[in-house]
Amino acid sequence: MTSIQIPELSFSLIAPELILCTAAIVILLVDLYVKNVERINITLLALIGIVLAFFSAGTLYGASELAFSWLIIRDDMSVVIDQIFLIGAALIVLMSHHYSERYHFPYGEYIVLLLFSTLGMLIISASADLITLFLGVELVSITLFVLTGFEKKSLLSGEASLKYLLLGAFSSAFMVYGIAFIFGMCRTTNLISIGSLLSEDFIGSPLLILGFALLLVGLGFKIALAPFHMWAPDVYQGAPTPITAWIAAGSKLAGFIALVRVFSLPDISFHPLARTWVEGIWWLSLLTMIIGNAGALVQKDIKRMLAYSSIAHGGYLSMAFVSHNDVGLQALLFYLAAYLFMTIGAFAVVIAAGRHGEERRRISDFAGLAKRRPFLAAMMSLFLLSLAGMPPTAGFIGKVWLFGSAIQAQYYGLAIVGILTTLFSFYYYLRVIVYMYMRDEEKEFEAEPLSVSLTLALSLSALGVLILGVFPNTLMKVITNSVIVL
Amino acid sequence: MISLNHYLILSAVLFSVGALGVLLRRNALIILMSVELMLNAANLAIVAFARYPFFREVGLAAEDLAVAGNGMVFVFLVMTVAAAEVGVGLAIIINLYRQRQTINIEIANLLQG
Amino acid sequence: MLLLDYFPIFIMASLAMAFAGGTVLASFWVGPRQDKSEKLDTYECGMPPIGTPHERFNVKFFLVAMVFVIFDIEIVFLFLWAVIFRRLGWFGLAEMGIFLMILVFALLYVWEKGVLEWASKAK
Repeated sequence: MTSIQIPELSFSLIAPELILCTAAIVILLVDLYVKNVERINITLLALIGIVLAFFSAGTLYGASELAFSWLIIRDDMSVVIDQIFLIGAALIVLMSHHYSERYHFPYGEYIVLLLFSTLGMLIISASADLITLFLGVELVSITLFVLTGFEKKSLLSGEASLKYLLLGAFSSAFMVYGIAFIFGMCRTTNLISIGSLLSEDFIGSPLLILGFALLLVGLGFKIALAPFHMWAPDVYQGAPTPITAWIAAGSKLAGFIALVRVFSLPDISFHPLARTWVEGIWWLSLLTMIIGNAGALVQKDIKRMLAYSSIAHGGYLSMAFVSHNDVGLQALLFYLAAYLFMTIGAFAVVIAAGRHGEERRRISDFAGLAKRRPFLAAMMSLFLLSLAGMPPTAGFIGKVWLFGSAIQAQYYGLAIVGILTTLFSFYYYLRVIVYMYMRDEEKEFEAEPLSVSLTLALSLSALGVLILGVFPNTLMKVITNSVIVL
Repeated sequence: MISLNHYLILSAVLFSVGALGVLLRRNALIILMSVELMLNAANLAIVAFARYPFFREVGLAAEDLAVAGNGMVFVFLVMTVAAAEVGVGLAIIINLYRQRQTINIEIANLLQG
Repeated sequence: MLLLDYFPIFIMASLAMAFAGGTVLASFWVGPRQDKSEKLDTYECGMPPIGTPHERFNVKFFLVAMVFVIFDIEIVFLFLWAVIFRRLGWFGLAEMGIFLMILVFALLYVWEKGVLEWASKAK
């Protein structure tokens, strides 16, 4: 009986994932067996796990290895992305601490699911195989389905989670079917092997193109690209607000990283076949920018408005795949980081401006906020201006870099549409600011004092937006290096 | 003689039936079942591709076995994910039923622009 | 000529149909008839049925079904592992121990939440 050769296991390369998973399980057990555990302790445990994972990811810079029989790739890009995810997760935990007090969630389970969804994102960023990629995407989706429906009494939340579940499962079926064809044609699911196969004289059969197209449709659903965006506004509106922020920032980031892993490996992306999906993404990007911005113009609900704005940002971001060069990829990573801060910040303001039973949902509810809560109004203006792309915020640098990459690749049409829709977008972002500063409030909202956790989340997001806007060089350098290594 | 193409056609038919079910039916449970059908159609395609070397008459190479193993393990993982999706889906549907006494998705239409 | 070869089959088929149809008709003509209400019941013997067949199930059934589906799938991985158990050696045992330990945490959760107790209400 021959013994089986066991592939080399390098657990140190997946240390952030292991730490996060352990933290989640510890919190689950603490929540089960410690009677009347204070919510603050759970929050602190989660934050400790996230911070440990953050620093253990930091030690992995410069690793650039394939591990676990090529299932995991640990390059600098994955480390940067992991750290961005972990910062986002920490901000969401802080927001949830405040929000869950307002609505009395079963907090332990909520945090466990939140950490598992972050784990899924880390897996996506480090996956070198379609199998790990698929598992990561599903881990993110399934935990978010549950989290979306966490307000069990709320009709909106229940309906949103059902819609998210049905369309999410539908899109995963497309993903699996696409992976089936890629596997059938290339006879492997490993992205690096697929890349080297494609770069040899491998004539792309229609089935292979179909496979990649189905995969693109599946991932397009997850990041709400234009023809597949229908679920997004409903889910964003119905989900508990911290989860909306996490879907808008984390899940979208994860979807884009999955796209980067599939479509941007150098070997795959410079294959003649690449023209096919570059053209596909060109149309998706164009449609998404137009539909997202047009949809945001007419919304009355603030969360729906931010949902359409997030769809529009998906359009700008996918421009990077069209321009299809190193600059595009670097701009994408930078803009994703900036986008994370400004989106989470905007939703944090939406939470802070409301109180139990009286959320400020409609845009007109924000009238007169500047008089009553000047700090919140200033924060909201900062995040909205950054989303619109005003200097000196992070959004401006990101947009300039992204559009620049499209121009460099001579996709002038797409860049012009991007700039025009950005100008349009100023209208609906500024409308909220006008309401906050120039209108008197229609009905009185009793103020709820700003909690420490929410203040922390708000100021950290604001700090992120400003630092990336004023001193973008630090992150730029890291990103530029990481993409060259790739 | 059943060839790879037969399996692929069957899986395409199953996938289309599932997709039509999702688009046409209004009962949330049946939609979930249709999604399962789509996932299993994809599984069938993967297994057929994994067995593809075995359809040839020449002897099997070691790498053929590796390809087969790769595909079949993927199928198991997809089945696991599908089970998790069903578990979560049932919970969400029960919650919806408790709220509204129906699982018809057309009645669940509070969220509109 | 060629049709003639099928003649025995034709005979066979008509005999079979005649027999099947004949017995049904014969019992219709010959058999006694009693249209009593017991004859129309769903079950001829046992308890008289209560309520409609579209009975609503206790939600516990769904909970148990969900838990079953999730834990059922683990068998798939145990099976793969068991096939090459000896060749994997201690390494395989340790890995499966970790895998099962994670599942035990899930089981503890389900247990503590009271899903496994049929009678009492969930905590």
